[in-house]
Amino acid sequence: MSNSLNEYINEFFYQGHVCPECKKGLTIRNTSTSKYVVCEHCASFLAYNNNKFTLLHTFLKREAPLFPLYSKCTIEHKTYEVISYRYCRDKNEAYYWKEYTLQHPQAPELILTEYQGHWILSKEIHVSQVKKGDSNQIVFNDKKLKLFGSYKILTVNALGEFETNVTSDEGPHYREYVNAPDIITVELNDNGTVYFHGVHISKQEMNSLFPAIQLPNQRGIGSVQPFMKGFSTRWLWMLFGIFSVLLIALQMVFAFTAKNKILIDRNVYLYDSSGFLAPHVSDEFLIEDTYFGTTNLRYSLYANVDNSWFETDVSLVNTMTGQEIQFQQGVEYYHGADYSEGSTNETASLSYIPEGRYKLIATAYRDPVTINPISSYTYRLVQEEVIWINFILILLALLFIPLAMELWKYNFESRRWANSNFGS
Amino acid sequence: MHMKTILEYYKKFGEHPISLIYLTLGTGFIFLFVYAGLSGWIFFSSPTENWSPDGHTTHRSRSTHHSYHRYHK
Repeated sequence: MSNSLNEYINEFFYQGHVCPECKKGLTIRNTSTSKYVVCEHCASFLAYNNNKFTLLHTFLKREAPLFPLYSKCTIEHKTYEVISYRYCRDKNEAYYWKEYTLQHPQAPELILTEYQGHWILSKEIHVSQVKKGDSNQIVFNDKKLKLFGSYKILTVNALGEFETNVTSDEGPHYREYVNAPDIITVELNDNGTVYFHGVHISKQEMNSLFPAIQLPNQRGIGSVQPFMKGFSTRWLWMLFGIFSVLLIALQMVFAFTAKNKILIDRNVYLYDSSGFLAPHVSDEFLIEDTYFGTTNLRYSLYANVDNSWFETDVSLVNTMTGQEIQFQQGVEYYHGADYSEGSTNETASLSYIPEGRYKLIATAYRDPVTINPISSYTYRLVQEEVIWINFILILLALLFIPLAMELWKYNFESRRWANSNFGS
Repeated sequence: MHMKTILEYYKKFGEHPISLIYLTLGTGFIFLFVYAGLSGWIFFSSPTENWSPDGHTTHRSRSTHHSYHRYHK
């Protein structure tokens, strides 16, 4: 290419700015504010003053930006332009991230940060918007943010133009306070303190900002990545409270209105007049007044067993339909010098028993080898006892989702704070 | 509480499906509890075996606990 053509290109595209190192054209959009520029050809970091360039540093061309310089995106109906890019590293630890400066002629600059596929969009805020909180906390918009990181930046690579010397060893110190999805970055420099407020940007939102760009996959948990967007366990606990109050009220209603009607209460002798162990047949009894045609029954058995067992096979026979409901219930009681096991009383809870006229037939079995044989037992059949197991199980079922979500959130937050030196 | 505030609460609440799923499930559990209470349904009741004259029999498991003591004590 001839010198005249080079000069023409430099003049037309680069307004006559030429890199003193590689002699190729230099782009500067904001000659009034930009004091430093990076040559896109040779990665020289140059100080710009009175149309003169001085070499300060040469970057290694590592980690190219995802978005080309001067690419555009629309945020809140304003079209921003990417005017600079930095590939940063924590000076003391091997954490790397990328920063893009977005500029709009009539709006404050925005800073777009990417770390392991997680995006944050920040802008400078006035110092009065931030208040000091408890130790390691600050308050922004009545929200407490906790200290997450404290670092100085080492610029590994850069492109575009800057107002400050990003290669300086005496660069600002940063402190980050987080409460997802918000982050406050405090920049402490020689001239004072500058505050930035940032918010987490989801990958979907980034895709809509830069639809042509293949964005990196997310790894780990971002410093201000929300647990679930628009979700708060507070709502679940509030609902759980409402459900619990309702459940307790209903259980109290059931408890106070339970019939607890004794249908039969009998003491039965095991042997008939001939000395045989005969089945017991009760008088007919009536199960009635049920809402859905069914009810629960409680069968209580008492037998004065002593180091032995006793069992009844029970049939509830519907005298109208001939249908039978059979169940077993026994008692056992064993004891010694230092132990005792079982009881002389036991109960069986029978669910969903249809209403009707019934007889109870009980066949008894006892321990054939015991030295303390019993001669009688007592049983009682009660309609509609107070059921507590339903109340407990429904309460546990209601508790499951809020508790599971709370544990999931706890695990999520633990993973987030594993990246911080300041714990949770 | 003003109507606007209630609507704001509802809007925030409805932002995530888990809240709505929990609201639906929880309401279902409450209805189940009421039905069980009125119908005498005990979620964990003693095992029974039902027999009817038409030959239809339903079986449920029986405890073997007593058998253990019968033969081992």
